[in-house]
Amino acid sequence: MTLLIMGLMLVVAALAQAMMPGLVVLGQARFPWLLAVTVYYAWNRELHVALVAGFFAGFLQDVLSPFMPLGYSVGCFCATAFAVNAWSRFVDSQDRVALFLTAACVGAVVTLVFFLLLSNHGVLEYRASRLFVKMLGSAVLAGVCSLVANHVLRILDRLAGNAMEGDALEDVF
Amino acid sequence: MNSRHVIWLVVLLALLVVLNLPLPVSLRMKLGARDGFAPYQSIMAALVDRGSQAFRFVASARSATRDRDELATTVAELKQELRHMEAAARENEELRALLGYKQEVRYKLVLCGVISRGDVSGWWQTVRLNRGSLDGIMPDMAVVTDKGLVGKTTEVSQRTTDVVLLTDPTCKVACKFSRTGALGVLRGAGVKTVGDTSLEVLCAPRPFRVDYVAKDQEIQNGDEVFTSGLGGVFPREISIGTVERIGQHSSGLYQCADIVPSADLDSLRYVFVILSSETAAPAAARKTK
Repeated sequence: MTLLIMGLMLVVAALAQAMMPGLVVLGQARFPWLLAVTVYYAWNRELHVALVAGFFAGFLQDVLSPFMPLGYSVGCFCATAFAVNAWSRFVDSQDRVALFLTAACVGAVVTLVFFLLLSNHGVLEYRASRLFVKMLGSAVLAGVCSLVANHVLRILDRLAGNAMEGDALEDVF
Repeated sequence: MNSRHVIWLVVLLALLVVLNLPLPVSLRMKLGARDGFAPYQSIMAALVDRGSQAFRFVASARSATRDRDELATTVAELKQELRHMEAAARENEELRALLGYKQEVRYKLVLCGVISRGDVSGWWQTVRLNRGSLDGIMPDMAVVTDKGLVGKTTEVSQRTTDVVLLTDPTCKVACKFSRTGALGVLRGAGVKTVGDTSLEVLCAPRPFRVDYVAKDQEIQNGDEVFTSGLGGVFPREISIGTVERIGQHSSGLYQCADIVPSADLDSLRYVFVILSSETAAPAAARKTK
């Protein structure tokens, strides 16, 4: 059931990410729904579940983006899953402020890593002066998307019997 | 080794495999996945389009009667104008035939709907179209609207085409200024126009810039800019935009100009892909020979 919900949410997240326009005031950062789903599983589940979510989320982002080399998002999202999962052991997983701040940090760092990877690969012509605004935008949007994804996925998980409210959602995969 | 470790190992191996896939294989995977997503993206695009149309319809209900009367008047005027233009076109064709004017360029176009705007990762300014190689589209073809140039095709799957917009810094176009014939290279600035407030405009890119214009060439605000046809991707004489601001490059070696696009890149719904330009000799000209 977990895999079914994960697959469904990843497809919905990919479609939402493709459809929703980037906000210019936030450096044309897009709503990172795929990253938010990864953060949810890393925040609430065990590492192996988070890694699976991160792998498929990254794969979807890579295949749907015309210039993105295959594997870049996969690597970034798996690293995100690893880092967030490790960090979630030190904070209260029910705390929404902590989730928002963690997702915001992840959004900014992932944007910076993408910038470095893509610039190094020669497929990106992007002024460094705009990078700061984009990182800021990604941080805000990642925080917001993570809160929404966390809320929706928790409800779905509860409906599917994967976890009860207040559970740390461990050992259900 | 328990099942968790096996999953870690599988994910790690899969990551290594994905990172080291040969380029043709990874491209085939990407194009296949895009074809799989295309129907859902089309449905989503249609839903969003219908929603915004319904919203606009409700918002404009008050002025609908007045608009209808105005449109009826406009249609009558346009019909009158069309009759004059048909006569002028016939006369033009006869005169061309008399002068032996041989060449008339026509473009073979494919109408495509926009199913997603912007790159999923947010780094490039692209749109995705609902037509692909099955309709004869290939990479590096010009994409236009009735108002002007939009961009060029990049990756083409069987049912989808990705178009990099003119406003993306990676898209460069050889262009010329219509008044003086001065040549330059246009590239996207990658930022949007400020001042507009609608949500749709929030995703709009900014006027692009023409570089490498010779210093001795005169350019003015309001000058029209067209494709020059150099480079082979974009056919010549397609409208790009008008000059908004002129300046010197920081090196002092050439002039540059900011351009406002002719095509409405903020709200693209339908575009044409130029498959090829056909050169046709008018029938009247052949008859006179």
